[in-house]
Amino acid sequence: MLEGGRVNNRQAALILPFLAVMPTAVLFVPAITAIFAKQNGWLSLLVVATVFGLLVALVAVKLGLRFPGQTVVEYAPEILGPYLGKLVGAGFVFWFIHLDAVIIREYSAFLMTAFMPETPQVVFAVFQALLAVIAVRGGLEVICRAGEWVFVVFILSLVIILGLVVHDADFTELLPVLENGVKPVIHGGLTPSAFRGEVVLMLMLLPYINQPQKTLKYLFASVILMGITLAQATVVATSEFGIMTESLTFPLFSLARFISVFGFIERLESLILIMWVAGVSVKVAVFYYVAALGAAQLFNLKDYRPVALPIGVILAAWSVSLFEDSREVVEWLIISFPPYAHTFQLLIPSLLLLVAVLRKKGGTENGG
Amino acid sequence: MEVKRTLGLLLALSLLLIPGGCWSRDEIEKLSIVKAVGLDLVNIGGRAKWQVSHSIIQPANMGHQAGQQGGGQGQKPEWLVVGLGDTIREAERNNSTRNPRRDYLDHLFIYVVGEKVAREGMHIVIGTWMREPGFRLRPWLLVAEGQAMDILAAEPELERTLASEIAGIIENGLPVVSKGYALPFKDFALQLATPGQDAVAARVELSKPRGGEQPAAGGPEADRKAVRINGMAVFRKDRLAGWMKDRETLGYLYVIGEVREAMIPLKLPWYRRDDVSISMTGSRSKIKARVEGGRVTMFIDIVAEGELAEVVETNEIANPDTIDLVERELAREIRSLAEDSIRQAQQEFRADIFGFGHRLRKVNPGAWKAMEENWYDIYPTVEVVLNVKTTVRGTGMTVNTPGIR
Repeated sequence: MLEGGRVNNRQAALILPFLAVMPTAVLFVPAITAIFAKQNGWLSLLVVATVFGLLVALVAVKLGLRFPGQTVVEYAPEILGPYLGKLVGAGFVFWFIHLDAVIIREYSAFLMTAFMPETPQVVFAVFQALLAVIAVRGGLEVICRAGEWVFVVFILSLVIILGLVVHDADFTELLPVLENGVKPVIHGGLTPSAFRGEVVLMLMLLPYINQPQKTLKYLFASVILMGITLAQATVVATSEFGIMTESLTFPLFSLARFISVFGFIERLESLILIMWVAGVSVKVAVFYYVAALGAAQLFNLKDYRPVALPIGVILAAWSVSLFEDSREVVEWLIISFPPYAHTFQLLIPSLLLLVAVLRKKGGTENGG
Repeated sequence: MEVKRTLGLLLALSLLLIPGGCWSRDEIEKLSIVKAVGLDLVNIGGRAKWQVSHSIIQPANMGHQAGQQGGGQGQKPEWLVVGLGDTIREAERNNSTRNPRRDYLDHLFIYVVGEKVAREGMHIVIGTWMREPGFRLRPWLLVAEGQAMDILAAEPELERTLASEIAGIIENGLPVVSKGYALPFKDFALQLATPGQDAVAARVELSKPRGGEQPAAGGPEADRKAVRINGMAVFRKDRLAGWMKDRETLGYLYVIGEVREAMIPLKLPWYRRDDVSISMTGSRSKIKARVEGGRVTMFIDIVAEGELAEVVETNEIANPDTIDLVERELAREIRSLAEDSIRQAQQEFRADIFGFGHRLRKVNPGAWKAMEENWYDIYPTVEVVLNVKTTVRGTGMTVNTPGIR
C-alpha cells in the first residue's frame, strides 16, 4: 500500500470530486455550452452532463469494488493480462498528467486574461505546481482536509455572486425552452460532461476510502450537486447576458464585475479570484496526486513521493508549451477534450468492467 | 535535519510571493482615473478619425472649491483630454502622449457616444469595449446630440465633476421624471445582440442655463453650458434612427413598465380653467404576443398608480365618483402616451424598441422563425391592443382645495 491514509466518504467522494470538477468548469463551461445550446445551456448541464457523470460514477465504483484495496493501475493487469493491463495503467497515468497540465494552463490563462496581463505564464505554472507538490507529498488526507475548507469558501463565493446579481436578472431570457429540439442541448452537453466525467478519479481514490460500500451514494450526490450548481450559474449568466453569453470568455467573471447593489456593493471579482485560486489549487493537487500514485504503482515503487517532484516539473513545463494562446485552450476544450475525456472516463472503465465480469476477475457480482 | 528545516522555511517564505501576486504593480499616484469617455467620429483633412475624450479626475483639486476667493484660479477637479486615431482603442491610447499617468478604466461612470458615431453604427463600439478586461459593462451609455466631446466639456452645476453630475441625473433625476431613460452598457449591448429587439439609449444635450440660474461652484456664468438628459436615442439595428421626445419616452416607459415616478398633467373636461397634476408612483406592464392566421397582435396591459398632486379648482374632487372619473381620464392620457410612442416607433423609426419580436420568439419560436427574415417589414403592421388600468390612491395632504373667500 503506497498511501497509508484513510479518508471518509464525505471528504473523498462528495467534496473532492466536486472540487476536482467545478473550479475550472464554472468559468469555462457556461460560455462553451451556450455556443451550442444557447438559452438552454442549463439543461445541458443539469440533465446531459449529470446523466453522463452518474454513468461514469457507477462504472468507476462498481469496477473499484470488485478489487478492494487496489487502484485501476494495479488491477488492470489482473483483468487484461500484464502487457495490455500495464498499457491501460500507463494510459491513465498519462491522461492524469496531461489533464493536469491543461488545468494549470486554464488557470494561468484566466489569471492572465482577467487580472495580471503582464505576468509571464510560467510564473503561474511554477507556483501552482510548487503548491501542488507540497500537497501531494502530504498525501491524500492533507488534500482532503484542504478540500473541506476550500469547498466552503467556494460555495460561499458562488452564492454571494449569484445572490447579488439575481435582482436584475431577466429570467424570461431562458425562453423558449428547447427551441431547436434536444440535439443542440446534447451537443452543448459534450464538453460539460467531459468535465463532469472527471469523477472517474474515483478509480484511484476508492481503495483509500474507509467505507467503500457507501461511496456510490456520495459520488452520485456529488455529481448531482455539481449539476445543480453549474445550472444555477448558467441560469443567472444567461438571464443577465442573454444571447451575449456565448460571446463572453468568462461569463461568470463578467457577471461578478457587473454586480452593483445599492451603488456601493461593487467590484466583487475578487471573489472569483478566491474561488478560482483556492479551487484550482485543490483540483491540480488531486490530479497530480493520482498521477504520482499511479506512476509509482505502475513501476512497482515502494513510495510515490520520489516521483512527485519530477511530475511537477513535467506539469509546469508542459502547461506552458501545450497551447499557443488562450483561444486554443477553449477550442481544445470544445473539440478534442470530449472524445479524449470520454474514452478514459467511460469507454475504458466500461470495457474493463465488462472483461472483468466475463473473465470472472475480482470480487463478487454485487460488489463485495 | 537542520538543512531540511531551512529548506522548508525557504519554501514557505517563497509562498509569500503568491498571495501578493506581485509581478507588476499599479501605484495609485501613477494612474489617471477616467470617469467619463466620449467617442466621436471627426473629419481631419478629409480622413475619418476616431476622437476619444477622457474626463479624468484630478484628486488634488477634489477637496476644495474651485474658483473660490482669488488664489484658486478656477482649478477644476476634472481634466478633459482628447486623442485622435484610426481605431477607437488607438485614439484612446494616443491620449497617453499627453497623459503623465496610465489610464485606469475601472471607475468609468459615463460613456457618451457622439451622434455621428451613432448614425454610423454602434457595433463598432460594442466590438471595442466588451473585449477590454478593465471595462465593467456597468457605465451608463448616452448618445449626445452633437459631439460627445462638447458634452464632456460642459460644466457641472451641482456636483464636483461632470461625470457625477450625469450619473446623478440618471440615478436620481430620471426615475422621478421618467422623461429620459438610460441603460448600462451591458443592457444596451444586449438589446443590440438580441434578435427581434432594437435598442434605445439616453439622449444627452447641452442646455444653456436660464439667465438667473447660478452654478453651485461659482465659475464663469454668462456662457457656461450645462447638460440635460431627456428623451431617448432610438436605434434601428445598430444605427441611430432618430430621437424620441419627452412624451414618447414616457409612453415607451409605460409600455415596458419602467416608470418609477412621473408627474402627469391632466385636463379634466368638467373644469373650466385649470388642469390637475397626478403624481405617478409606480407602474407595471405585461406584453403578450399572439399569432393568428399569420398576423401578429401584441397585447399590452399597463397598470399605473398615482396620487393627486395639484388641484387648483375648488370644486369637490375628493369623492369616490370623481376619483373614478379622474382615473378614467388618467388612463386615457397614458393610453395616448403609449400610442404615440408605439406609433412613432412603428411608423417613423420602424424600430422594434419594445422587443415585440423578441417576446414573440419567447412564446412562439416557430412563428418567429418564419417571420425573422422579414421582421422589419412585418413589425410596422403588428397590431397593438392596449389595456390601461389606473388607480388614484389618494388626494395627498388636502381633501378638497380650500376656497378663497
